Amino acid sequence: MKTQNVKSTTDPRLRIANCNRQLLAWQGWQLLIPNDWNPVKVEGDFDDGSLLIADMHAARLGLRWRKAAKTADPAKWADRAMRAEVGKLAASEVSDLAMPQASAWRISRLYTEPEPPGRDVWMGWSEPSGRVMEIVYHAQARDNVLAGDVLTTLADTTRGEPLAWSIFDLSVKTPAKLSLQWFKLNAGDLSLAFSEKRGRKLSVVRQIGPASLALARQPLDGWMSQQRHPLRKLYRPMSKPEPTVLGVGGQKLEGLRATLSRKRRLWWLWVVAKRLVLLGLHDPARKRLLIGQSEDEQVLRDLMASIGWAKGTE
Amino acid sequence: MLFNKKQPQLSAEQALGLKPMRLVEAEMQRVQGVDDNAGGLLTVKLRQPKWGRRLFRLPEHATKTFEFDSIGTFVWENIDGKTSVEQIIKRLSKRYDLNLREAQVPTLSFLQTLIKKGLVGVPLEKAKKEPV
Repeated sequence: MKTQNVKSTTDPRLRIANCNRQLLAWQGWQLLIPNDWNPVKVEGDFDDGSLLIADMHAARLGLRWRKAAKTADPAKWADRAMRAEVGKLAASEVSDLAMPQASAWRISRLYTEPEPPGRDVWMGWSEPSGRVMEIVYHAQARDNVLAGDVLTTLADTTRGEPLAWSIFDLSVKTPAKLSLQWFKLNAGDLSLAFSEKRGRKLSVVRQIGPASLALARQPLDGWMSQQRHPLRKLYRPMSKPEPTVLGVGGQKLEGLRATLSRKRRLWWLWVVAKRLVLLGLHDPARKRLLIGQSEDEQVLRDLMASIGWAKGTE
Repeated sequence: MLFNKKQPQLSAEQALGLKPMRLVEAEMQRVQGVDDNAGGLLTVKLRQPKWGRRLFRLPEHATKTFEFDSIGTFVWENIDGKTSVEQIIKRLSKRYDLNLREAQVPTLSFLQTLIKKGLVGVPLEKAKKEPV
């Protein structure tokens, strides 16, 4: 089987600053994609999920991953998966692809469409997380985008380690104990909710932008009121929001802090946290409003302090 | 419906290449907001409905006012029959520092609303008839 070598730059800052690219970090995977490409369909969790990335005109990249069976043979899995994806005839033209971090990949196979437009398909078995990944690139012409640009920046996170998240322009880092519970990716209003095992201790991070338009609609405490509105049946505000300051991305951001208390008549609802903390911040540099909600204030402050980490690598 | 003309199905590429144009002659009145984010008010003269002309007569100077936010005003001002949908999305993305996807979704949704209200139309080129 032929082997192809993939050139890479080792400095992550150089990779991001190379051209107009954005970092996509989701469920432990990290890769650089052009600014014109954006996720349009996101499904699944750390062990089993998919991402569809498209530009304004058509789908560009499809990612699909799942947890690998411990006893499976990587070579047999790759052969079987490639045959299922491209067909028996085309599977004979598959070649091994040497990835920049060779030790992180048990197997890496690439199929290049000989007569585009068509699909270039890559399959890999990641050692750090024990997951298998399939990437399909919709090639319009014979280019080296998949092997030369996308795969050189693909990285995985070890299972059980803290995770870095970056989607559209919301980027946040979470500790190992938190996993993604739900997300809302609306234009200008992005929310990620993380929790510990079995949905306990939910922490929500929300980014609204542009800040000027958002503040023209209502002030920051109005947005915080909107955030706590769905909780009104369970919680009551303890006091008026008070000013607060939080360091985010090396800057001191001013905002408001509010505390909610579980209603007294719901004393028997032990699954509902007794107290919730809401933080609302205005980031003038990034022109965004940041709103956080959690029952653990320290976790929330740590989460919000990490917002915008992906921008800091430029 | 049975008697409605069948609307042509457009691909994403074709939809982005369309050049919307205004169907009403009305001036946008700017409303100054915070940080120079100006919204606008568009006052449109109401037309007599064809079917209800004898039953419901509208006053001669009846108007309807639409209120736009700053993004809506920006999109409206770029609708001139010469700018394509894709160009409007890119300009919006640059103006408000938005991701292309974040600019595309509300722009297309807003244009659909304007088309439904009858304020904007998109000319579709007729297919040339091949000689027999």
